[in-house]
Amino acid sequence: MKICIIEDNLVGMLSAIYHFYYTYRDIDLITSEKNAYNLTDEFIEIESDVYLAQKVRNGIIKKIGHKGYKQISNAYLSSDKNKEQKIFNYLKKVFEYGCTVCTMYHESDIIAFNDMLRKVMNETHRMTGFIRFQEMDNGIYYSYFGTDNDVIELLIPHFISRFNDQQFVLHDIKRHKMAYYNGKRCFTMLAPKSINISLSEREMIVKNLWRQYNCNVTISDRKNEKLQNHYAPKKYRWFMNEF
Amino acid sequence: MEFEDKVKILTEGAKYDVSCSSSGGQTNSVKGSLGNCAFSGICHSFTSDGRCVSLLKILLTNYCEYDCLYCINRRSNDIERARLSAKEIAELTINFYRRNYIEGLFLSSAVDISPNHTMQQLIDAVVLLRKEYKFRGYIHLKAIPGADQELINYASQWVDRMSLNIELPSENSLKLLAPQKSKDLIISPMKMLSEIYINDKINKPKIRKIPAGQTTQMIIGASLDTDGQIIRLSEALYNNLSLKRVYYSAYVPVNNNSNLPAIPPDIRREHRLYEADWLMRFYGYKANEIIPINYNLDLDLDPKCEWAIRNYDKFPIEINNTSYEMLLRVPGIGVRNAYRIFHARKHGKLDYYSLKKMRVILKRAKYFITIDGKYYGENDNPDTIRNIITGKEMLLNSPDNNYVQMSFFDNNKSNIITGEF
Repeated sequence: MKICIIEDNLVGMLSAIYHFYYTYRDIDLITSEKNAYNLTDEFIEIESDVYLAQKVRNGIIKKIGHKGYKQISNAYLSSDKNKEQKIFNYLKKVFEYGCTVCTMYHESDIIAFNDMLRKVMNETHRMTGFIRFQEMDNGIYYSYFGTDNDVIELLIPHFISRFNDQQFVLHDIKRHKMAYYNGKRCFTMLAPKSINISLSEREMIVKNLWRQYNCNVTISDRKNEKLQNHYAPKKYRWFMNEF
Repeated sequence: MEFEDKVKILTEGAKYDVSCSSSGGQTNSVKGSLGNCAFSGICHSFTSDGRCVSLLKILLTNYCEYDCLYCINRRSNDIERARLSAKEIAELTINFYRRNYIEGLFLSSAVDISPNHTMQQLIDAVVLLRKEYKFRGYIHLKAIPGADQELINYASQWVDRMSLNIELPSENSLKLLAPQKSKDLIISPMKMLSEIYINDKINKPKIRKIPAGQTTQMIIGASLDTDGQIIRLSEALYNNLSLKRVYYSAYVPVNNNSNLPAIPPDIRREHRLYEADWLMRFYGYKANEIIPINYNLDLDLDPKCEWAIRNYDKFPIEINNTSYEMLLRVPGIGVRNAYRIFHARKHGKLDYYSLKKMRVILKRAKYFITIDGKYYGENDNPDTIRNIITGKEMLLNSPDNNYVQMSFFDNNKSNIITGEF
């Protein structure tokens, strides 16, 4: 089997696609991890090349439009171990059939891609609701969270448009990524090892009001924790301060 | 009284209002203002009753002039009463919103002093939030029945959604249980809101009034009205008053009165009504098709399945060439799967495994469809299908059940079956 090893980013992914169409037609597998494959496999390492990636990007946009390209870049944020392969399979179909792929709901490659994309988008949507900010004494609102997929960059536009007059920090603890919006511009960075959080005076009061509100609004005759667990999975609750 | 205590009392007074959605309005953010509205709506938390927390749902006050029998805030109830100022409401909303706890505000009130007075108080709170605090998030405001139409009209320009609760499904029930409210006091402002909504939807002025439309709520099981009557009422509300949603709330006994049932209705009834409601809004069913007027919905079988079995002469249908409308009527196939099947089959014939891959649940659907000419159900007798789906047939057919001839001495076994010793 011919395995193509790429750098773990979208540019690497798109460069590999370019090479598949113009250099190595016989690539079977694209991945960013070299280990755990058979001795008999043949490896090709492909360097990321912005120019080639740009070409492939334009090709995709020509085939399925900006929205279609956006779907691919969003799917790349997935935590799925085989995401490169799934996107690769999907792109092969895209270049073969063009726009009509979006209605091929019975094709395995397209189902696999859509599932992956849906997980990313669902988690993004959930996070727009579940992220909790705390007011620090310097007026900045700080939030921490951890997600399965790397969705922080999809969250930034949502929170900027919502809190455009507010300074805030989004901190993905699992990936050590951080985004800081100063009221005008947004900066993304690697999170420092330790962060000092000193909360504002009223923060505890508001937080307690919120906890109390969640208890009070519950109709205790209608307990349904199974449904609650379904909608608000336990894996997110460590950063939701009402739990 | 401490602020926390007031919030507690007024939250508990508001919690029986079902409406929680924050969808339907799309307000873009403006530089220097706080907030926007996401069209899809966003749920921020879920309480242990399984309901979502999207809006800060609170009453302005629970001091009430009215004495509705079913309501926890009725005048003759001896409960703690509180009142919040417009500023307090606004501050709380902003503080919650900036921390991403909520999507906006759901503001309601008991009828304090007079309907007009209460409506004015509500408007003051909302205007303060919009003007002084530059809040552009979602606001759902209750209109008070009996308030002047001009007031309600004025309020509509400040909020995303308004609602008046129908409370009970018929005029007679209203007379019996909510004597100070009347059909006319509720319906005529609803008519006005409906005109406002449609007018702005067509003319698209710069600032749209109630962009997310209006909703209503009724209590189920506190009166004798049948499901047939209820869904006919809902149908009329959707068709004639362009409502976005009708909420049904199974009566929770909070007060004792001889005019009220002592035991709450079966919770499944509320569920079935929502199913029927969805059939009318998304599946193209008419109320007439779902159930005759004087009947209640079957608690053991959902209304879609019930319809399909009753009309079994129309089935089975071939999924590869039937219309989209008919696909929607197959039990087990929902809007999303109908859409997918409709598009996927243009690329070639679908077979059993394509449907499996598309995750179409065939457990029920198989009795109502043929896939590429083949029928996959074990049975095509509507009565048997009904029994299989409701679980009654399993008892007889399941291979796990070893039927043993009963003897008079075999007490253990006969207990289970007859329920007596």
